[in-house]
Formats: sequence, structure tokens, C-alpha cells
Amino acid sequence: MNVSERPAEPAIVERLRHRFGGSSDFIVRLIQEGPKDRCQYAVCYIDGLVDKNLLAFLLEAVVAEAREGAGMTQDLARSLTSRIPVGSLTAPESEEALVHAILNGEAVIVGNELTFELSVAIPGGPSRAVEEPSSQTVVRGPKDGFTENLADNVSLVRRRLRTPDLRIENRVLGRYTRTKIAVFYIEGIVQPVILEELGRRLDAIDIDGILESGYIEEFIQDTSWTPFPTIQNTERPDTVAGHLLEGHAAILVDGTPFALILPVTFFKFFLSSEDYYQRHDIASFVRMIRFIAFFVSLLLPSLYIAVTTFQQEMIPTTMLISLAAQREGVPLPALLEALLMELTFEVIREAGIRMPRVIGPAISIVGALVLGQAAVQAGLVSGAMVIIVSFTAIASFVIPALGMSAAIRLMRFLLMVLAGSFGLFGVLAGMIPLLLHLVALRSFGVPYLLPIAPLKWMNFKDLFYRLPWRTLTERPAVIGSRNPRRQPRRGPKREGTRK
Amino acid sequence: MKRWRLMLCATMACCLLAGCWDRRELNELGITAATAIDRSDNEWVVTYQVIVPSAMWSGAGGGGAASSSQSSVHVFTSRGSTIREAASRANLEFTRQLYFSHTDVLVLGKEAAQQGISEVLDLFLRSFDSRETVLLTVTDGEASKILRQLVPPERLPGRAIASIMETDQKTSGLTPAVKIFDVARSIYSDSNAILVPEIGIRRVDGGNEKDLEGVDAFKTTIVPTKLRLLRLAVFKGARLVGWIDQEESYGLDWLNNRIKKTMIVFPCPGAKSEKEHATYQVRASKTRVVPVRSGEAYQMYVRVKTKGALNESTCTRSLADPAMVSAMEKQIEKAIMDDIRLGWSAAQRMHADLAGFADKIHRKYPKAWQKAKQDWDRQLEQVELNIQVQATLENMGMLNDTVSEELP
Repeated sequence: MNVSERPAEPAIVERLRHRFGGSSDFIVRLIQEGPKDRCQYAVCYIDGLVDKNLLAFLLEAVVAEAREGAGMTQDLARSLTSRIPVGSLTAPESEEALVHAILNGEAVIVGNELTFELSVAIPGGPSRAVEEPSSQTVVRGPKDGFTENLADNVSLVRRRLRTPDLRIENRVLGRYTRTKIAVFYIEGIVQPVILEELGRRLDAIDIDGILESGYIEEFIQDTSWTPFPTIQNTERPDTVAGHLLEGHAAILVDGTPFALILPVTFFKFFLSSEDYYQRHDIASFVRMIRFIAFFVSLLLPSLYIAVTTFQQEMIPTTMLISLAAQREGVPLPALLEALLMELTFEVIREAGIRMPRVIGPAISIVGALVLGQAAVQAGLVSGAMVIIVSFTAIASFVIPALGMSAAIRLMRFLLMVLAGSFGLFGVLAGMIPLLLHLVALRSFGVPYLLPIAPLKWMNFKDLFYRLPWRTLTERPAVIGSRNPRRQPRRGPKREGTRK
Repeated sequence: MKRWRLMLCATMACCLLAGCWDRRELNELGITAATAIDRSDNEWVVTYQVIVPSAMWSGAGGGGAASSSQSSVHVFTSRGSTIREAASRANLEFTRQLYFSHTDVLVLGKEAAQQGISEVLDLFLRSFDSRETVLLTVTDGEASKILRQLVPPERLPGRAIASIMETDQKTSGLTPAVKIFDVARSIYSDSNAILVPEIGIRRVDGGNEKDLEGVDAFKTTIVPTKLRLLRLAVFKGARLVGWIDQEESYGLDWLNNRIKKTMIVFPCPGAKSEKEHATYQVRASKTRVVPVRSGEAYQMYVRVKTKGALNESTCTRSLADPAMVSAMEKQIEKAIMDDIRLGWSAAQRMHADLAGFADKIHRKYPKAWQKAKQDWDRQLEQVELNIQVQATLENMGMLNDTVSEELP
């Protein structure tokens, strides 16, 4: 077949080529079969966005249609539809829709005798396997975590909530990235007010690109003027499912394993999904450890500074002597010493995250030996300060939510400066506005310190202490109050159970 | 937004302008473990026992326990017309700011105690950094000498003196541990008298008191001299008026309901020889004193109840016999009664109401007290004690018959 005999491509193909500007991954596959000049199809797709195997099936079907379907022009669409074994079929109405379909990983079939275009969704391309989440690990509990692929993530959640009431609403955000996001909620449990507000806030987003759920978080949070996160993020599908059941909504964003959960209260950041899988007494103990760690992480360095530079009378004598002995010859005032050590720790921490994995051991040696031990031996910092800073650092990692521990870190520095200037009065002067701020904070209209301010005694069943599941008959107040009953109040009588 | 910025500016200004003005770094503090106050030439002579932290705990150089090559305290003296003036003059010769919050003990010299310690009490109750829980002790002589003594094996002599007093009160009750606050309270009470333990240096084998002033004291197993609780100083008001000995004070402790745990030695009932003695350990005790007026004189009804165990016994009669047990209880009761009488006669001799009877009478007979208080100290001699002791022997220990060849 020579070039001159070649029938013209469908006109739309040329326009698409022009639209994609000759990008190398835009592929047009022409299919010429059957009687000359009669029927010609073109399949357009973007290499890398479609699944290669499905594409092969599709092409096979189109070829067969072209070869055999001669003369049945009016029914071409139908016969093609019945031949194509895979994917959902749509018929984009405008050229713009066609372009978006191609960019969404669909293959578009055009034909010069076809009066419309057919779009077959066969998304594919490289994606990571489902792995254990790296940021929130559990000992007992499911080990699967979200991936960067929205479709996989949706299935991970759906598999946990096999109910028609689980609603997934898709949206596309970002003028250039056209990122797919999915809003999850359970109809009948979620508060419609929250959904409405969420829809309004999502509608207001108009930006060129959404690369991670953090973008959306910043756009839809109630206020940016707080270090405290008012939207939770998680890599765990079971965490999402658990929150959906309590009446929260979740947002999954294509391209990131981090889902957003909202609205969320302060205490939610101290809970781990494992709390619900372990025996209640052990889970509660661990939970209390976390709350203690919160206070340690927030207050320990500032209390140490305050007590050693202002209120020495509060320390037991023997402890004071040993602290004083360690401070002998330390050149810096306690505040500067603490700030310096905290700063050093922050640098090591950041370096630990940013550096290439292979040089990790080098950093730990330098960090632990040189900065810890050697600094004490050289008399630059006191041993007690190293203990305080390291304990604080470790305590800050006990808090399951990274966003919360970052907020606490920030507050810690503020409190340290106040403690260094005014002693315990300074710590108090810092804590009071902090508390006021937390009380005033809202997450989608829900008070941030919810079960404590305003006081909801019912939620205390699952706050500092998690009562056994059999007693958790109600969903938490406020967020889950639309459909409060979680299980019948009296558990089924069990055989052989002593009354 | 503007408000926030304003607040931020204000906070920053507060932090920076205040400039940590009352900041005291730990290594700029002279932590005083004990203070001694003497009086000479109409001036207060204040002696400080300042902790040397690096000798107490050698952390910076690595290694564990403190080396004994350096004394753990530094003692020095300053003078002034008031105590605070003396303290402020201390910095003419001492590098650090004196810090009194961790003072455990205050030693009074005899002369200072005899002249009156109202100023001392005022200082300890008024100033922020000295506490009224500081233990008070008196010495017959110069108080500064006491502070120079080390108390092996304790590294902190000031703390050690306080520990001696506290432990003794808790376990044997021979001497009361008296706080500054107790003395101040006694001044305002009707009885107006209090006992303060005396501390002194006891020499063994002709030891020299200089021996306990160096760190060499830590290198031997026996030290030639020792700090020891000796007699008890009787304070009337804020002034030292005399001394009584420990046995007398012990009886007064019973009257004051201060006995928590103590030992009572008593002869065995029906003992065949002088050697037969037993020891009763008091585990709980309560004393109630009720005044009863008869005419112008007062009689004090003293009711003592104790519970305890037999700790040691060389009695040959078997303890399995209940009659023996009640006989022993009688003996114990008699021993306690004798102690109380001895204590009270000492108080009468000193003309000091060391048992706090005055307050009890004032409470029960407020009107009659107005008259009685005129010459209460002289009336003390007419006060009679009506003592009833109820001692219970709850536990004989793990042995019924003692281990002896004379057993029947």
C-alpha cells in the first residue's frame, strides 16, 4: 500500500495531534482493515497511562470489527461495544472531553465513519504495590497501606466497608494536574452539614496543581493561623474506615498515599488504630503513656530551664546538687544550652530524613557520639541537659500523628524562651494563651477540644481510657450523633458467661 | 492580624527587656546546707556551710562517685549587726550568691541562744528563700565549730545533722526534731517553752575535733570524734534558760504525744536475777492529756495507750502463759509511767511548761486561765499527774521460751 492510496485519517485525529503538540507519548494507532476507503479506525491513547494488556484486547476487538463489521455502519457503535471486552465505555461529547479522557488513561476510538467517539477506560501505567505504611506502623492490625494510585486506594477502603451506604464522590482539582480526588463518607452516619461545608470549600479551590493531599488540607482547613493540624492525615485504610464509621469524612487524592480525615479533634491525634485492636486495658495504658509523652514533649525542657534558673527551691536538695555539679564549668546559660541542644537535635532529625539512606549510619555516629557524649565530656553542655533533650525528643515520637508532634515542637521552643525569661511564670504565661487558642479552634465547625470543651461525658468512654468494645455502644457525640447507636446497648447473652 | 502582631511585639519586648533579670544559674549559686549563728561583741556571726557540687558529684570529667580528695563543703564566716547584713557581707570573700532554700539545719551558738533568737525567727519566717521547716539545734559553745565537722560516711554534713535528728525522732523518740516553725509557735503559745536538741562533739580516745575537719575522715573506719545529739536545751520564749538530759526529754515526749516508735526496757515479772530483762517495741502510741481543776490547783489526767511487740526477752517464765503476758504489760506500764514522771519533774525543776499543759488548761478553763497565767511557771510545781498507761503486748515474736540453760 503506498502513501497516496492511504485513506485520510479521521479529521479529529489531526486535531488531537495538534492539541498534544506532538508529544512523544501521545500515540495514534491507525487500523485499516476491510474494504478500502470504507472504514478506518484510529485508537488514540497516551503511552504510560493505559494498561498494555487491556490495550491489546481492545486493539484486537477494533481490528476484528473493522474486518468483519463491514456494511453495518449504523450499528457500528453497538457492535463495537459488544466486541470490546474491557473497561467502561463512554462517548465524550466535546473535543475537550476527549482530551481529558485520553489524559485520564482512556483509549479513544475514532473512525471516519463513526459519528461519535468512543472512549474506553483502560487505565494503567506504573504503580507501587500495596505495602506496609511507613509513617504509621502497628504491631497488631492490618499491614496494608495506601499507595499513590487512587483506584487501588478506593478498593482498599471499599473492601473494608462493603455497604452501599459508603459513598465515594469524585472530583477533579488542579487546572494542569487535573488530580482526581475522592470524598468518602457513609450515608446515614455523616453529618450533612459537614459534607455541605466540605463541598463548598472544595469548590472554592482553583489552583494550577494539586500534587499531594497537603495542598487540599491547607485550602480547606478552618484557619491557617495555628500550628495545630485541624485535619488528620493517614496512610492506613483501616484508620479511614474506622473514622468513616464514626461519622467523619475522608478525602483520598490521586498520587499520594496520604488520605485526609475530617473533621478532627485534638485528642484524635493521640489515638492509633491499634488501640482498637488490642485488649482494652493494654490499649488504654499505652494511650495514657502517649498523653504523658505529650506533656513531656511540650513542657519538659521549659520546666527544666525554669526550675534550674529561677525556682531552684523546688528541686530536692540531692538532685539540685547533682544538677549543680553537672553545670559546673558549663559556659552557657541554661536557656541557651537547651536551645542549642534542641536545635542540634532538630538538625540531626532533619538530616536523618533528607540524607540518602546509605549514609544513615554515619549520621547516627556523629549525632550520638560526637554531639552527645563528646559535648558533655568537653564540658560544653551538661549531662542532665542531654538527658532532657533526648527524652523530649523520644517522647515527641510517641505521638502517632506527625502533624501534632510538629506543632508541639514549635510550641516547645516558644515555651523554652518564656521559661528562660520568666521562669515558671513564663511557662504559665505561655500555657494559658495556648489553651485559649486550642479552645477557640474549630475543625469544620467542630470544637477542637471536643469532649473536654464542651464537655461530652459520653466521649470519655474512648478518650484517655478505651473501654471494652461491648460498652462502646454509641458513636462519639457531635460528629457521630446523627446515627448514635453503634451496637445494641446490651450485648447478646453468651453461653457459659457468669452473670 | 494587627492585633496579633501587636501581641507578638509585646511578648517579644517582655522577653527581651526583662532580660532574665532575676535569673540565677545553678553554677552561680552557693547552696547552703547548714547555717550556724553565733553572737560575739554585739554582732551576729553567721557561719555558712556551702556545698561544693563538683566534689559531691563528679560528672563532667566522667567517672562515677565523687573523689574524696576534695571536701564536699566549704565553711566560712561573716559578721554583721543583722543576720542579713552578715550574709550580704559574705560576698566580700565568697564567689557565689548564697542560697538558703536548701538549708536543712540551723545551729545556734550558746551565747546567741541565751541572748534570744527573735531576730533569727523573724528572718526565717520573713524572707522568701529560707524556710521555716529548717531544723533547729543548739550547741554548748560556738556553733561555727559544729559546721566544720564532717559526718562520715555522709558527704553532706548539714543534711547529715538533720538526718540524725529526724531518724532519732522516728525510731527511738529520744529527742524531738524541732523546726524553726515549732519554736515560733511555742513563743505564741501559753506554755511558752520548747525543747531544742543539743548537738555536740563527742571525743573518742582523746580525739581532736580538728580530725573531723578534713577529708581524711572518710578514709578510716572509725573516726576519733563524732557529732552527737547530747542534752536538750530548754527555751522559754526565745531564750535559752537551761538544759535537761535525754531521759527527761523522753518522758516529756510521752506527755507531748510525740512518741511514734520507741523501745522500752523492763525487768521481767518475777525475775530471779538482775539479768532478766525484756525489750518492748512500741509500734503505735497515743497520749491524751486532760486537765482537771480542783480549787486553785490543777491535776492532769494523762492516758497513754500503746501497742507493740516483744523484741527481746531473757525472762525464764514461759510466755505461753497469759498471766505472764499481762504481768509483762504491767511492767511496761510502770516503766512508761516512771519515764513520764521523770520528765515532768525535770520540767518542774526548770519552771518551764515543756508538756504544753498551759494551752490545754486555757482551752478547757478559759476564764480560770486568765488568773492562773499570772504566775503559771511557779504553779507548775503544784500540778499533779494522774497517769494511766494501757500497754498492749500484741506479739511475742517467733519464740515463746527464751534460749537459756536456766529454763525449768
